[in-house]
Amino acid sequence: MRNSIFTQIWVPLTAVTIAAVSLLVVYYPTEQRALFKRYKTTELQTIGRTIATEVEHALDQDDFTGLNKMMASVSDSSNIDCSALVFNNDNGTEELTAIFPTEYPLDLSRLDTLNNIFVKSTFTSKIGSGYILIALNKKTLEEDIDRLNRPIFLSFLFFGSLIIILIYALARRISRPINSLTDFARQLQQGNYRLSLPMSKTRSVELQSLQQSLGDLAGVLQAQKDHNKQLTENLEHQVQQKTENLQLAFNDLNTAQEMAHFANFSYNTEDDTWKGSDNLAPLLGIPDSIGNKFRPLLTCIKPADIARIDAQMRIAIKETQRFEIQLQWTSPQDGKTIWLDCTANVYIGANRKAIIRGVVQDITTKKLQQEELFILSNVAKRTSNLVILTDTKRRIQWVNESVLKVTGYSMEELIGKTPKIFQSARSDKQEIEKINNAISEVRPVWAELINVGKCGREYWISINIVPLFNDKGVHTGFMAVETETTERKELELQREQTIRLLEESRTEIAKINAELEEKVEERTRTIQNLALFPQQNPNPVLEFDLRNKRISYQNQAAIDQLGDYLSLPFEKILEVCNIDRLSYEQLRESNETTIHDFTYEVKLFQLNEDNILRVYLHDITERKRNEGQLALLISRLQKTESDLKNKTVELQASLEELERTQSDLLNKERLSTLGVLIAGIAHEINTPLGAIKASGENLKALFSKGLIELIPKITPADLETAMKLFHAASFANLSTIEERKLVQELTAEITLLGIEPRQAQKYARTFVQMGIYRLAEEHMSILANSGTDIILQLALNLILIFKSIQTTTLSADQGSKVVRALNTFAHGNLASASTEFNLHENIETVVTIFWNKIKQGSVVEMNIPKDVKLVGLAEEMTQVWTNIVNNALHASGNRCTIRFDYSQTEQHQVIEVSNNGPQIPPSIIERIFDPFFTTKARGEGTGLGLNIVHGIIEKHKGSIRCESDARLTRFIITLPLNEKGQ
Amino acid sequence: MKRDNKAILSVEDDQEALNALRMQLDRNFSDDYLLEFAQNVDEAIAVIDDLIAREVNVILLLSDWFMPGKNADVLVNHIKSKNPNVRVIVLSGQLDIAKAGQMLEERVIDRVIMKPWDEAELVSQIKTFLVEQ
Repeated sequence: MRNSIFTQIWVPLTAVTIAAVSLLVVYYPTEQRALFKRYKTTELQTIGRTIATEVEHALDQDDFTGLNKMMASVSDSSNIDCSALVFNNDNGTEELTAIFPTEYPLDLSRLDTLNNIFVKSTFTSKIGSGYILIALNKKTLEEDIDRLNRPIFLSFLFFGSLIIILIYALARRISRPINSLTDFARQLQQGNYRLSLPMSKTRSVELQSLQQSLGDLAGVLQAQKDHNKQLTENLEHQVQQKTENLQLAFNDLNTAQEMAHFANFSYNTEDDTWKGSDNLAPLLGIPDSIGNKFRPLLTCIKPADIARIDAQMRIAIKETQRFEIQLQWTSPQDGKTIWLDCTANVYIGANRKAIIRGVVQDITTKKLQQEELFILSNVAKRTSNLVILTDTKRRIQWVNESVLKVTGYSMEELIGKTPKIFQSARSDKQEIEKINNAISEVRPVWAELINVGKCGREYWISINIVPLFNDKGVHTGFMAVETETTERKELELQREQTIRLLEESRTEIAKINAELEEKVEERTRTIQNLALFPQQNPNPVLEFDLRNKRISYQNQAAIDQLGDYLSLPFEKILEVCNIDRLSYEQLRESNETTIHDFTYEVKLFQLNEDNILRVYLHDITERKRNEGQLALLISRLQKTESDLKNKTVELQASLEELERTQSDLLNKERLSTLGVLIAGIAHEINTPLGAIKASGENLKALFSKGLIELIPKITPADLETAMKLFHAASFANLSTIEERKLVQELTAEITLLGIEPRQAQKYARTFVQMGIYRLAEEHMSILANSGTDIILQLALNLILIFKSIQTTTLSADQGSKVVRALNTFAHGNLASASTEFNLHENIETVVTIFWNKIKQGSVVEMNIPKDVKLVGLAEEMTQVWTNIVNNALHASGNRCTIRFDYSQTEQHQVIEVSNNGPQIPPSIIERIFDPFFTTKARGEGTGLGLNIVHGIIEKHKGSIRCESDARLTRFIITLPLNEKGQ
Repeated sequence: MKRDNKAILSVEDDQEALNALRMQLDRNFSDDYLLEFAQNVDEAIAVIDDLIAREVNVILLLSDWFMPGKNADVLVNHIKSKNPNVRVIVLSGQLDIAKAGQMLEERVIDRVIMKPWDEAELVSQIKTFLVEQ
């Protein structure tokens, strides 16, 4: 209604009208009052002047009747007080002489300007002058004015109201058809299309057209409505069907939820209420009586979880995000604790409060399985046993840490391989076959094998292989659990060996025993035989007459072996024979006794006569000794077993001892390297020394025989010829084969000159030694000369002397070069200060020292620029080259090519020492820098060489690595580039 | 009287030592024997084969032991296959005493002379062996 056309017209126009009327009501009286006052004042003044004239007249005439009348009428007619005051001012001072009218004296107390309007008119007469005061009461005046204004206000109000009414009527007239249209539209809106609009003639054309349009629209809408109704019916049918389907699906979902231990829920944070699917209460074990408030259910949650869940939920609510929590829930119904997985989304409701909707799942079974799996996998991972999982094709899928530790392989190296990689050739073939059979038949198997680790270490394992099946029973692979039993196996082997030894010993003992017994039996038989003939028994036989307490019989053997004992008293003899008087009856019991250091077995026989006891003493000394030895043997074997155990402890101690002496060995290594080198160098020094010594002896011989003896015999001319030959001589080192060929050719040439062949050959040899291979004219003239022999001999001797001197010099140089190198090398123990040194020279020293070995079939290719400088410990670096070169030569039997290469980057100097000797097997390449690791025979190497190299390079803040394949073994040394280095 | 069918073969890898040795042998034996020299084992074998082709017998081998490429053991085997009676003197700067002793015992070699050698000793030893031949 607020914005209806009616109010839009009526309200503003009414407001304008009221405003106009109000303005007039406020403005008009003020203006009117002023006007009226002015008019009254003028009127009063006119009255005043009239009265003044009358007064003058009255005074002049001295007739005051008229005046009084007039004044009384004035005072009567209107609310006017009128007084005339006459002053006599003869003396210049005013003196009130008369006041008129006499009947109505002016109340002077009323003469205040506040309530009255005064008009003063002066008059002059003969009597005197004075003035007339006329006062008009203001209140009276106001009353007059009000009286005058009232009808005017009433007319204003009347016209204002009239206008407002008119406006209202107009507004009504305009808004009514619009309202009726509005009602019609509303009816349409409510679907009442059949309603027709009442026609009104007063309506404007526009409204009529609008009405017409609306009528048409109603028709269309009616048609549409009918159509819609039909559609709605269809839809309703479909919806019904869908609803049925949904119900079915809902039922299915419920079933599924129940089966999956799923239930959905919603929780309203505003009023702490929860709702859930039908299966929620059974799932959580909540009785129906618990109500729909969530707070009472908090006690079901494990107290330790509450803070975590609360925090997680707060975050989720704050961020309006999905959250997932797992918690332990104790059912209030039966007190059973289950694991719940709760996944929920947070929605913000209309009142800005969060609503949480989600699902809970009972994951107790899963959780238990997970925990079990976790424990199991941890066991598998951490156990000291070796656990290997393979697929059905025996390809390794997973191994635990112990496998990596024991075998030395990395996980990457093993995945996809078969466990054959572990097997040693020494394993029992039957055991392997047993495993293979079991695996092909997919059944568990137990076996004991020897395995071999990556670096060649062999170890015993007991292996348990179990085929694995998934929950559908499909075979998925195998699991092998191995226990390293090397130690046990070794002990077992030792024990078996000991047992075997013991068994053997026992068999032997049994055999000996059997033999002995047999012998004893045989002897017994013999004795029994002999019993009939005690005289011939080689063992002592005695007969005791118990009644008479004396020996009734003794054979010869008894007399021989017992001797003096027989003369002892009877009781003593019994004692000696170890015969207890009480054991007379136990005749089968055999005793033992020792007489004269011999051990005897004592056998008793009761003879027919009751009181005669026959005693056979059987010498068993030897048997006893054998038995003693056997016992000793057994105890010794037992001792062996414990010794074996002790040995392990000893080995441990030795290892510690070894480690303690490691530093000693490091020093020894240097000395031993030096020692080996000095031995090798002896050759390098002795050879030039030999050459020098031999040259000395040659010079001595040449000097005495070749010069001193020849010079006196030679003529000056011949001497000159000889000197010419000497000066012309050239020195070529020819092989004897080449030389022989040249000698032959030259001999033939000389023979042509008519010289006897043997002599010619001798000359030819001399010429060839001088470097003359063809005869020139001067040579022919020498040969024609009578002093040929002396000339040639002298020239040759001079040449040989020269050669000897040359040999001496060259050999001395060579020797000193070696000594110098050795000096540089051996110096290593002293210098410890870092210096700048020439790498080429540094390596060259080592090459010189090893020359004796290198020349046996090795080649050194030196590709290091001659100007490369290194900064460090020069002597220690020589040790690096020494050890690497020594190893290369040793491994290749002194037959390899050793290359030194050099390269430089911005930060590093890289020196590569390579050789084409045998490959370092991949199984040991990682250990070559380890201390005490050596492939050399016992005593040949300390196993510290490369460890020291490693140490030296590290000391220089560099690194060394080794790569080796069938073609090349390379040691790559990287040193940081020093400022001083090039 | 020079016997042209008998030769002494000296093998030494060091050129200077060989030169000096050659002078000594030249001075002492050139009148009576063919003197042959080689600087390494391969060359020595070539010399031996060449001599055999010319019907010359090497009756004495004087050789260093460690030499570039091959050691003298190869040479000794070769020469002994041609002439089992050949005498072998090893002239070495450094030799494993144990190994040398063993070789002497097994008659692989007949004498070891250490460098630096003494001419008189060398010559008298060679002469002793030559007389025996």
